[in-house]
Order: sequence, then structure tokens, then C-alpha cells
Amino acid sequence: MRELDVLIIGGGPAGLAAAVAAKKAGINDLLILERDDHLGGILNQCIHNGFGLQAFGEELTGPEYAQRYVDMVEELKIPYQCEAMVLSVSDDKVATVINPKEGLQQFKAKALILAMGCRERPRGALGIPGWR
Amino acid sequence: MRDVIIIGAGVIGSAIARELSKRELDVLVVERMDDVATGGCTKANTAIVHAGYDAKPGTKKAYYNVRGNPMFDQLTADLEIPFIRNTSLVVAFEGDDIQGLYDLFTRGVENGVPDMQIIDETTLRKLEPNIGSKARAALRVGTGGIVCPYEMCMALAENALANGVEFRLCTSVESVRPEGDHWVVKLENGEELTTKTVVNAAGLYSDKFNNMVSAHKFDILPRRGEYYMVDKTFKDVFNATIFQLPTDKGKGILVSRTVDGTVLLGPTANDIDTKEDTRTTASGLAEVLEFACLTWNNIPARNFIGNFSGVRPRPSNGDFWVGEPDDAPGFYNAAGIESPGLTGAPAIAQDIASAISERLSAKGKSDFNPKRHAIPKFRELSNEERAELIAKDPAYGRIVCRCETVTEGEIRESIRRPLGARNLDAVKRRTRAGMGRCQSGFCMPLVAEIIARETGCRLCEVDKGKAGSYLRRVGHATHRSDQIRRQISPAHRAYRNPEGG
Repeated sequence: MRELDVLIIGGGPAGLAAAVAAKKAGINDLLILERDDHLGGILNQCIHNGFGLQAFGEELTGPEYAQRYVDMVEELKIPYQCEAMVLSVSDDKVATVINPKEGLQQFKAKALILAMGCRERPRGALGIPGWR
Repeated sequence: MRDVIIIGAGVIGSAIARELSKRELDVLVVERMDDVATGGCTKANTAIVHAGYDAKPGTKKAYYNVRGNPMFDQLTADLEIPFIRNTSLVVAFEGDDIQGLYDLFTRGVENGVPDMQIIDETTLRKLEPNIGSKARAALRVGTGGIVCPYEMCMALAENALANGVEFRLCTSVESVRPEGDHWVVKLENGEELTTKTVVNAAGLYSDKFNNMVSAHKFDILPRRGEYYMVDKTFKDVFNATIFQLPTDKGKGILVSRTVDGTVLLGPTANDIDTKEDTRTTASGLAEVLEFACLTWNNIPARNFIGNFSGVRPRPSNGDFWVGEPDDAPGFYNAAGIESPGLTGAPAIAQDIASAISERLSAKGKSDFNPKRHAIPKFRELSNEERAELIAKDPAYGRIVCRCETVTEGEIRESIRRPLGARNLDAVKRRTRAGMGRCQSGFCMPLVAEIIARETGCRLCEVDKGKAGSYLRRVGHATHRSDQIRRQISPAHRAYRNPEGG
């Protein structure tokens, strides 16, 4: 089991921004875990513009906006793993993670940042009747 | 000429196929759908292995239920089918006539059901702390269980195939007729198959084939049952399957966990006009909730993951039709098999297979292999087993369905194995990818990609379910979608789009 200061679950906008902020605040022992095979999260499918007006003072599409944060993560040399799925998190902050290359890994973190986004509630969850 | 043609690859047809595969016989199963376990009742029912106190003494339903129940331990072990003997409770609530519990008990004794007790409220609350506040007493039956009905069917079919039975999917039978000392099974495409015997395991359509060959006619009167499914977070809310004591207000709605940990509420019982009407309705779902609330006071409606319905093949005479009609020698009915048919399936299969073997003087097969291995279930493995599996095959280190923790390795295996999956729903039934709380919102495109890659088709040609339910219509018709369009008759279109909108 590897011990860490900060473990960030989710490599979308929230997770990336949190990683950058943590690093700038002086935390060096940190790791981002991303389920997909690249960083950026939901922004990658938001191809309309209007992102970044507050943060960067210009109009960007989702992927462009995400790339700004990905670049910062790379520049600050913040480590991350893609294709890494967290299977469980225990009460004492141990995350059990799998990915095809490293296999099954466990991380114990002093602090965990949960930035996994959300799931939509489909028709069935809302109890709407009809044909399947 | 074949020895046996079985019409229908539901749980009954598949159980008979496997039983016949223990003998030296040439057996063919024909199924109108593109997968086993999908034509009707097998894929959508309450998934209960009934104890046998409910059916009227002296009926075939009672006989096969009580004989089938104890067969599940060996069968599910041999075929790696998920099965739990979680016991059944029939609960009487405030205002119910407790005498009803004793009547069921007596009926159970008459049917030969072991391990039954009437328990008082204190004992009931000890067993089931979350039972509704108005619960007063219960009949507890130790032999009640739960099973995965479609995995049971797939396991039986896979094992039958491994032991030499042939399957033809997407093959509709148009008619059956006797000719001399044998039978002719005519397919919808005009092809005629000859066989010494025929098994009618056509479920909702079993009346059609029986009535073609015998004067002892019956009808299948479709009866729909609607269900709600609750997320697996609530799997421990009840240990047993909780039935309600039938009253003059209705047969009651049951609450039962499934072998996968979700919780099932239902079913309603509404007679309907067409056998394919598997819609859920506002009134049906409201009825499920109204009754289920008695058993489970605070049903977490925010944690529903889906609703569905199943159509039972209710026979007009009220009982199963098992065996040869006296005016159609060599034609065997396993027809009108509604509840408790899932429980009765292994016993029904035994009887049909023995009768056929006797007629054809078939010898036993010396190399019959009773075992079938299930697809590994990553979600149920220990961390050590998971690490080992990923080290052997990295595809098991890639989670495709997050809600149910299904890996790419499992999905690939579901496609590659015998009678393998060819569409999204078939993968779902075999692996649970898409069956969780997001109902495939996230994994559908990923599963479609794996199917396309494994089967060598284009992504846009992957079907959701039955042939023609392609995900995306392409501008220029491909060869295959052209074929599909020709296959879809107006009637099929009506089914896909019943309201005309």
C-alpha cells in the first residue's frame, strides 16, 4: 500500500483545479486518478464555447478549457493515472484502485478529494412508465 | 431426420434440451428471437424458486413445483447459476384473517412441502426487523429461494450445446404437422424440417402449436405483471422473500431481493390483449407501490433504478400442459408454463426427456459433461483474485460498467463464449453491464464498441436488442441494415412503435 498526502479521485475540471491549487499550496505528494484514458472529464464532450470567461478572460470550448488545466498539471509535474478506476474507499481513507497496467493498487491518503462528477437519473429511476 | 426438435429456448425448452443431451439423441432447438431467454416470460419474472404451498393440491403446478424445488441445489452448483435459499415468508397484516396462513400451511402439507412454521409477530420482527408496522404473523417456509432466471436459461442452453444439442436462433416456426410416423416442422422461411418428435416449449405461443395438432385445445391468455426495481444499496432490507397473504383485495405484492442484490417489488396481474405488450403503466406501478408499502413502509422511491413488466403465459384451463396429447403421439407439450414454472423446469424437463428417450429407445451418453462455467464476476471477487485476474489478462483491469463493476474482460467473454452475446441487451443479461443505477447511460457506447470490435461489424450496426434495433441509422444503407429493413414486417414495426408515434 502506498501512502500519500492527497489523493484526488477524478481528472475532470474539479479534480484538475484542485490538484493545481494543492500543488501551489505546497503539497507535493499527491496523485490524480482518472477513470477515462485521458484527462478532462465531462468537458471533453462540451464542445460549445463560453468556458473560461471567469478563469482566463476568454471564450473557450470545453476541451480547450480542460486543456488549460491539463497543461498546468503537466507543467507542475503533478502525477496522474488514467484508466484507473476506484473500486472502494474505506473509512480510514484507503482507496482500492484497478487499472490494466498496474493491476490492483491501494493508496492510503491523509486527505481525499472526491471530484467524480455525478450520474444522471434515467427514466427508470424516475418511475416513468412506458415501453422499454 | 432429427430425433427431437424443441420449439422455444426459454428456460423450459433449454432445460429439456439439456436433459435430452444426456442421451444419444440428435436434438435441435429453434428459437424465434436472436438470443436464448428472451422470447417472453424467462427474461422478466419474479425470479423465485417457490416452495410449493401455493398451488392447488393435485395440479401439475403443485406436483412440478414441489419436485423441482430440491433439484436446484445440484443444478445450480453444476452450472454455476446464482441461487440462494433465502426462505419465503407469507405475511398477514392487521385486519387480515390469520386463518389464511393456516390454510396455506395445510395446503403446503398436502403438497408435501417440508420446513414450514407459522410464526408470531415477535419472531417475525426478529427475522425481519424492517417489516411494516402492521405485520402481525407469517408463514415461514425454509425451502423458498431466489435464482437468476435468464442466467439459469443461458446456463442450461450453453451446457446443452456443449453436450451436442444444436440451436437455431432467429428462426420462427410457422407450423407443425404429422406425416406418417414422423413430424414436419415448417419454418417461416419455408424450410421444412423432419423429426421423430417435437417438443412444444413455445411459452406465450404454445397454444398455437398444440392447437395445430391436437383436439385437446387450450388458449394462452397473456397476463402482465409490472415491477419496480430498487438499487442494490437496499439489498439487506429483508432477508427472506416477503409475500403478502392473499385477501379479497388482491393476491398481494411481494418484496424480494434478487441474487444480484437489487430489490424487486411486484408483480401486478392484468389480463391483456396482446402477448407482446410489455409496457409498464402509471396505474400498474401505482398499484405496486400501494401494496408494497405495507411490507416496506418507507420504500426509497429515490432509489428506484427501473421498472419493467413481464407477460405470463396463463393457460385457459389454469394448469400446466406437460406430455403427449393422446391424439398426437410424438408431440410433447411443455406448455402454459406460468408460475411456478421456473421452479418446476428441472422436473418438467426430466419427465419430457424420459418420455422421449423411452419412445426412441435412446441410450445414455457416456461422456455427458454436467458442468458449465459461468463468466467470472469481477464484482464478487476478493482483491487477491482480482489482482490475479488482471495480471493474467489486462482486460479485467478495465471497468466498463461502473454501476455494476463489470470489466471489459467479462464483456469480451460474454461475446466469445458459445451462444455468445451479439447485442447490448444480450451482453447486459450475461454480465450486468447496463443493469445498474444509471441504466447503461455511461457504458452503452463502450459496450457497443467492444461488440463491434469482437464481431467485426460497424459501430452503427450494433443492435440494442432484437434484430433491427440498431443504435443509429446510417445515411447510406449498409448491406446489413438493408437486410434488417427487409426483415422487419409491418407487425414488427407496430410492436416497436405501438402508439404509432
